[in-house]
Amino acid sequence: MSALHPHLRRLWRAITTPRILLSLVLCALLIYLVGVPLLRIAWATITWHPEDARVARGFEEGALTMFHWKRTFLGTVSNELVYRPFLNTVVTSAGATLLALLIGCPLAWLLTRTDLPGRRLLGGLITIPFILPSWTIALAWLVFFRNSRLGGAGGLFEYLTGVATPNWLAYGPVPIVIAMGLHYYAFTFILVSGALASVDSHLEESGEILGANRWKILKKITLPLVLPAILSAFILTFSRSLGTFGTPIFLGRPVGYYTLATTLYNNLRMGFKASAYILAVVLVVLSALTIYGNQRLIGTRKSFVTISGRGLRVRLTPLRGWRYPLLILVLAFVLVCVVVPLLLLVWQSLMLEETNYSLGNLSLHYWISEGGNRRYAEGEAGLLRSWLVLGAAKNSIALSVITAGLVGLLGLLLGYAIVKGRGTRLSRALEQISFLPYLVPSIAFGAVYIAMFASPLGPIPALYGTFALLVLVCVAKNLPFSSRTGVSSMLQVGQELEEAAVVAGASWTARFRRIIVPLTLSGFVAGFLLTFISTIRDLSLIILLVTPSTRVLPSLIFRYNEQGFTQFANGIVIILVALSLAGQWLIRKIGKKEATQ
Amino acid sequence: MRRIELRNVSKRFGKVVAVNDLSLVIEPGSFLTVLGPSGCGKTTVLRMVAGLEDPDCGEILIDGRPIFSHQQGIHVPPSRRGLGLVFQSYALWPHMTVFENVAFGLELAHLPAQEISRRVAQALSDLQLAGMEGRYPQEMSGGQQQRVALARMLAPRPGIFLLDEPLSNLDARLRMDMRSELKRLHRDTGATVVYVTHDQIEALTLSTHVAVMKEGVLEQLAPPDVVYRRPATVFVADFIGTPKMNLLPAAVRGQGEAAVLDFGAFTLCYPGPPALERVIVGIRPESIMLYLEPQQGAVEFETYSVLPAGAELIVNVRRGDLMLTIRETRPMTIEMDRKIWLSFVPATFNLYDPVTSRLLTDGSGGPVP
Repeated sequence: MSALHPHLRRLWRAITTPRILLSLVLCALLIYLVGVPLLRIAWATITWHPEDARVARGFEEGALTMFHWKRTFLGTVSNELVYRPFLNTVVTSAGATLLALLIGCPLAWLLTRTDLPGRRLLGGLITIPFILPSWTIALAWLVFFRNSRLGGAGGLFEYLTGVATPNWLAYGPVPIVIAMGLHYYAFTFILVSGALASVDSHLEESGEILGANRWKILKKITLPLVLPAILSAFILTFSRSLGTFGTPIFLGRPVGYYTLATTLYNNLRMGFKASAYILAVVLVVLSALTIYGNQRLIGTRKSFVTISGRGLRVRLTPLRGWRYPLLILVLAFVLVCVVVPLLLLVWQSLMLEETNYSLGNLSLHYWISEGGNRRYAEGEAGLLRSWLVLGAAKNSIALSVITAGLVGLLGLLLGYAIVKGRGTRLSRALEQISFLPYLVPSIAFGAVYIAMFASPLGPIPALYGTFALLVLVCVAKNLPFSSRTGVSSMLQVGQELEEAAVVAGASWTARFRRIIVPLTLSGFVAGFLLTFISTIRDLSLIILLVTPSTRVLPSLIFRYNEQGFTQFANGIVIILVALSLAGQWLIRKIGKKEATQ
Repeated sequence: MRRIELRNVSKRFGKVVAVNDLSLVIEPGSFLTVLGPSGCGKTTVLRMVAGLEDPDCGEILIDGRPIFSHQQGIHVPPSRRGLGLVFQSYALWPHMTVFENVAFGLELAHLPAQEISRRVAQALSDLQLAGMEGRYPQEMSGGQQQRVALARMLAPRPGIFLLDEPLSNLDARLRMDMRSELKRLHRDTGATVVYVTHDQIEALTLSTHVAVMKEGVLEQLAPPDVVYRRPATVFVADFIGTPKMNLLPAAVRGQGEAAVLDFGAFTLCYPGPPALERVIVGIRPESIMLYLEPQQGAVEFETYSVLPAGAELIVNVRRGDLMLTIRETRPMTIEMDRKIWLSFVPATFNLYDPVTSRLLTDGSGGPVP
């Protein structure tokens, strides 16, 4: 070293500074996980593939072409391929988002700013859909409203009334909007109540002193203050529902109602890769535009939502005589959209014959039978004895635990690199790239990963069909979330705490192990928990990437539903929910133990 | 006993120049206070010596050996510079007990366990913290946390102490106590101390040398009494001392023995002034004599406000547009809006060049260090 030129020495020192080194490695990793896949999918839409022999002649594989774009947007199938699904996507997403807002906002107000009894408990109950798979309601809906008009068994409604449910109520846009809305309202609720809780009552009281009545205060002071949050909730919910796969496939497919996500899936299944990739690009663009619009629209107004945390006081609006009627209303709501769906699923999984909802038909057959009776589910063994279910459960747990662990670790490292490098270009680059997956709807992200990993790229082997690919896609999709939690927990650790260790002679690894990690542990546990929950129930992201050997519970549910083994499908939903709850309980317990040590 | 030297050190953060071409020698065993308003670059100086920040150019030497050199590309890591650092926030690790906090550096140095407990016990008892080994920092008072931070710095026995505003988070009484402890600590260890503060009382009471900084530039480096009596620049004169030094623009009339300083509202004889037409005259509030009755050679003023403060009395007086502050230590009562008479001792005046703001040392009459 001493013989080197001072310039080289300085450069060497700059590069080997742990923060810089870490940032460079992370940057490379992010580019590989996010940047390259996005470029590769775009590239795949403008080149020829061997499969294209079915729709075109005389092309040179790998050569550039606009054929796919022309076929998708201007061809004879364009209407079916892109325009109708596009319209359906926008309609269902917007409808679901509106419904979510209509439910979520009043609930948020009731639970944060009024004296409704039992608010804490209610808050817990209301956010339960957040931890359920997004298509739970869809499956429960089918149990209740399914009709026999399209062949197959009728639902509970038909059993009770003897009238076949009309198609518009059983399938298609109406139930899709309702099922998605009843899931996403929890998301809106969390966003809006966060904003509402941060509005200082002093602001409202000032209005009151000046003579405004309660309604006027709500309208003129509180609402404008949380309006940006509501807008933001609208946009975020909308962009989330764009890429939802489960609900539209379960409720839309029976009547041929397809969204971009489900069309994408169908195209990929039929081997029209290029069209699928184009749909993915369309989804990405749609979602990116929405979020960009959100930034433009409220980017500047947002500033006044963040109200100083100090001396924050929230005065609760008395509901007076409305307290108990409203409480009953909220409880009824929880009952209808959380308890009843789960009960319906349990009930249905216990029904030996598909159409008979009577008590006498209840049996544990689909749970514990040894199989072999071809009369029921073609002789497959009960859920609790099935190797298929066991394998999928193992995969699900492994996938969510490994993903959550990696996301937590990556979040810590990203948080460290971003916070310590604040103001540098490298730090900004990291922050921006790690935000990119946010713009890519789940199903499109899956498609992007197929484009990336179906064939080897340089030294990287083709990962398609491996468990590693599932982990990779889940980790990458969670990047925006992990970097954000990483940054916020790293901000809690004062710069000087680490510097004191530098002066004491601690190497970078020693600092990370003995100072940074212990001090950010609670943030890590919280991040782990959320990633675990969102990964274990995810279908949209992994549906395109699972293969029989890497099957997870949600994909198994999807398969059984396709085969018409609804008892199995619904039973697995229950298993999934139980696993998710048990996992959360365990993580909380371990986290608490670690934190107290 | 360690000698620290900074040679032409500069540091900028983005467009802000935090330290501008600073050269400074800190003699072995001295207690140097770096003093200045917030944002003057004093903490940056400390962090560069510690090795937490690299200068953009220049060199830093300890005992003549470069520990940082931009030209040669040398950077010795902080832990191998043989120094201890106390942060303004104390930076005690909240997940470690007092013992673990103090032992951390010793563990990293791979000292045997026995030696570690011996040294930790020693450091803690030196700072009257014996028996608190098992506590967590957040269970202690601010003063105790401060002591833990000091103990953590002392335990590895560094030859250089770097202290970044260590007392600024304590209340006034505790601060007084800690000052005396720090002075004792310096005496007993013989370490070279660099102490950063914006509190001039701390600087004057603790140090053997004071370095006053302004906007990244060293304004004066001198023993505290010199900094107080003969501030090298108008900035230092204005910054040091409470109440502040009176700084009055004046015209110089006449030459030699017959020279007169014309303040506008009044004039004073001033033998042997510099060859300048205008000067700024600095007069310490305590060097003005105050009389309640007319005196020979005294100038008549009117009291504007009178602020008793126990041991002393601060009197603001005016004559025309001219305002002056006087510190009176004799017990007396003075009403507001009454006539009083002031007499001046020109030998205590500091004259400054209004253009360069520097102290004029030629013929200013007083003893120049």
